[in-house]
Amino acid sequence: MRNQLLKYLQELVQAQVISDQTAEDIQQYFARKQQASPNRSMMVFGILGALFVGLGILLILAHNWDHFSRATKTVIAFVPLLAGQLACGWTLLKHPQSASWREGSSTFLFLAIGSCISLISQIYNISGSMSSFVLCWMLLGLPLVYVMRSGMSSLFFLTGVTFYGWEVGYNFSGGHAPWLYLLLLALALPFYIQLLRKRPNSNFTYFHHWLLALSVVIVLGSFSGSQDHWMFVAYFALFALLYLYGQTAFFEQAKMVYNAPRLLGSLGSVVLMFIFSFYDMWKDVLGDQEWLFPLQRDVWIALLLSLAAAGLYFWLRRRAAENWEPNPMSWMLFFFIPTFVLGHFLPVVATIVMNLAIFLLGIYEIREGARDRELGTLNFGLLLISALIVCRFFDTDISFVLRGILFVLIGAGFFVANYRMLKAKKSSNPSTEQQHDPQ
Amino acid sequence: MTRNNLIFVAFAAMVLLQLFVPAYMIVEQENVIKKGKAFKFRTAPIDPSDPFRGKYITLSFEDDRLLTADWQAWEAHEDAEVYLELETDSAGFARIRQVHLSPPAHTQDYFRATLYNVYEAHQHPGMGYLHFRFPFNRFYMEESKAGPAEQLYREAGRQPDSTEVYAVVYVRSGKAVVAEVMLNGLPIKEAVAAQQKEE
Repeated sequence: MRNQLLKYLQELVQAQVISDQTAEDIQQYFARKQQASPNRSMMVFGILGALFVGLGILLILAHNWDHFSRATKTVIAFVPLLAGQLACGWTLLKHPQSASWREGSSTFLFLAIGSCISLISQIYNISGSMSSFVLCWMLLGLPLVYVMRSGMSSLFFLTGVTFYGWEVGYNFSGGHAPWLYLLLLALALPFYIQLLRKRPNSNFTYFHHWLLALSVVIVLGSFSGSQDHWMFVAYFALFALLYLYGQTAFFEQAKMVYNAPRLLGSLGSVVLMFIFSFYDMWKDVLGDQEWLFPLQRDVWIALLLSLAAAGLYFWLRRRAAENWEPNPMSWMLFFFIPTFVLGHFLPVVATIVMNLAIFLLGIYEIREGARDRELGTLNFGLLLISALIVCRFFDTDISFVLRGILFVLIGAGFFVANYRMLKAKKSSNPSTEQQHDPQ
Repeated sequence: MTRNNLIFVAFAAMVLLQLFVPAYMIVEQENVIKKGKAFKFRTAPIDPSDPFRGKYITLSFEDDRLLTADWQAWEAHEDAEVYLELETDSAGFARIRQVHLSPPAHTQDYFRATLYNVYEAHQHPGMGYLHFRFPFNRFYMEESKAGPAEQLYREAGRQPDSTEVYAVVYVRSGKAVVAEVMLNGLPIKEAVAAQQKEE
């Protein structure tokens, strides 16, 4: 964009749109900006180089060279580790401020730790599970995040920790709640908070938003106990929490695609709403539950997350301007919970309520999109309505006649709304209407 | 202490930790191999792969069960960690002598395992089986040899009487290390190498 702008400067000066001085100022502004920003391509190449070499060493060692003795293999196991440690030490001594050096050497060392412990497992035929191997690797790699201030190591750590949570929690041969995952996540948080404060708009921060949000969404399900129907509410609360977190000041300048919490939060909520727009869901899944509040672990998780979401909602509300109009997605949770309870007794009513909610949310998004001329929001609203139509059109639980009548009524509703909008527009601005109308 | 010094102290601690943990793993395993007793476990090899640690053969042990009369008393301990005391049978293979809930004091020839499940033995009225999961079931091999090792075993298995596959496992005070897998008297990697040469 910068090059394009500079190309047009001359043209703009010649056309007398801007003065010579302004053109000069613009050029100087970009020159200063480039000097201030670190050399990003150097860092990317440094990280990629270390990543490939590290992964290559992992693969070469995994070959398991037969003709080396146990002693030789043991020595080889430590070579990449020591090399990585030397590189990190050198970086701290000579280039402590260079992000390329810090990220490159830490990336290599992080992978070298993995290759060292995997080679030792190989030499001694240690059978330990994948989760214990990854846990050992991540704990040994964690200090790199803070000592080397390495974003890449933090991303590795989060990935490994998520994998650990997944392995322990969803293991087919007897998974159990991965409580240690919570502690590991907490260990990664100080670095994330530091990123938020110091570099809210850097690529590393954006990657962290995505990875953290995905991680909790993936692992939450594994915390459910023997009863798990309240996990639906827990997930809805988690999505609400993510959505609200995406509304905080940290994301004010971030583009939508980088606002992972908001995107995942709204997507997750909508998917859950659609799941509960089916009558079968209420009747079969929730109808089978013996009682509503079994006070199992899932109820507590749902309660805790809902309280957190409520807390964040009211905190945002207190800090927002007086005319704050929160998106319905912000408070949909407080609507979902009573509907969820109601659904246990009156599944038909809950189904209708959920369908209406999606419909109204779609209309709201379309209206907002049209008003603010935001195509993304408008399309999101249209997508909601279209998906709802598709779901209900093929919904075999409702009779053809009833579906037919519903569709005709909704269509008629659209016509009426359109007609009234046009009428209102005409009465408020007759001159504009005349300009467009050749009659 | 200045911030810089603090970083260097933290760095030194990190380096030591990263060296200590793998070194400790080595010392622990070497200890079992040097001071432990070797037992032979009858086994069958299968070939899977691990993304980081490479190819290995999974060992499925034949004598991972114990026939006992008080099996019902063990039902409450399913999924529990137990200690298996070993002895050698007349053919020279390992056999579970006794199961303990805590480490036995009178011997070092035992290792920690999981009581996988407990079930009635229909062929032996009044008796039941305790089925264990051993903590060692992997034998890492060079990637070109793990697949053929399994194949070799299968082919040899067509003449069951003449085939003998067993793992040599060092056992000492709760820990166990697989040192070798033997196929008809040869270390399995040599048996595979000989086979590859013939082809």
